[in-house]
Amino acid sequence: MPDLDSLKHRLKQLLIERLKFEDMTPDDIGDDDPLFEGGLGLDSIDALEIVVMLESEFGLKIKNESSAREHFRSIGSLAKFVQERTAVRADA
Amino acid sequence: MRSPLAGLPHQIPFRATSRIEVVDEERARGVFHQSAADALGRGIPIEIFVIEAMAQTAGVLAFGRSSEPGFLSAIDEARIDRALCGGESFRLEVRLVKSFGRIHRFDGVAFDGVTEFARARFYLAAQDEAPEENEGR
Repeated sequence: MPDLDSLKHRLKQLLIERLKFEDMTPDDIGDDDPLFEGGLGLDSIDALEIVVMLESEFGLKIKNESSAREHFRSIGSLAKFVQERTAVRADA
Repeated sequence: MRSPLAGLPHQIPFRATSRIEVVDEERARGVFHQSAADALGRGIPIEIFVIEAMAQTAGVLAFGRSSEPGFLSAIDEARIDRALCGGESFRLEVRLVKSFGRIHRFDGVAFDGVTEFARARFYLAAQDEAPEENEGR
């Protein structure tokens, strides 16, 4: 499993690719920048694309919208969520 | 037996799909007939009706068992290979990729016989619940 900083960078790359952010690089996204409501200004369709991305890239299934809301708050919280969930799966 | 078309809010002339068959919980098929070469006459390409027909077909999967209204929220990566002519018919296949919250993502393909004619990714959304009448008072 990559370290947290590598994971944050990878998630930024994936967001830029999947959500088609033109002229943006991972360096343009702060670890604690809000992804929704201000910050990057993502919307509910983008949230669904993040769910699809987590499933295809990391094998993580997200079903509960209300709990996902907190995990999707920023790149930092998303990276911690991915790291924890993949670690749990590796231990199983 | 109730037709899946009866579950759509669209009726003629706003219903673009002429037949819908639900294959399973994630897939449905439809048929689109183009009756005129220039149905809109306002510079809007009639080919867009094929995408609308895909969305209506998908609407039966997303909202067919529910009384809540939904709408076509977004279209992405749409590709239409050629202009279409009046009298042509297309077979539609839509697949539910993922649902999250009130949003449903679908992939759709339209076939001219066995040849792909158009494809698109599109999103259907359930309408937000109406706020309580006394909210904020």
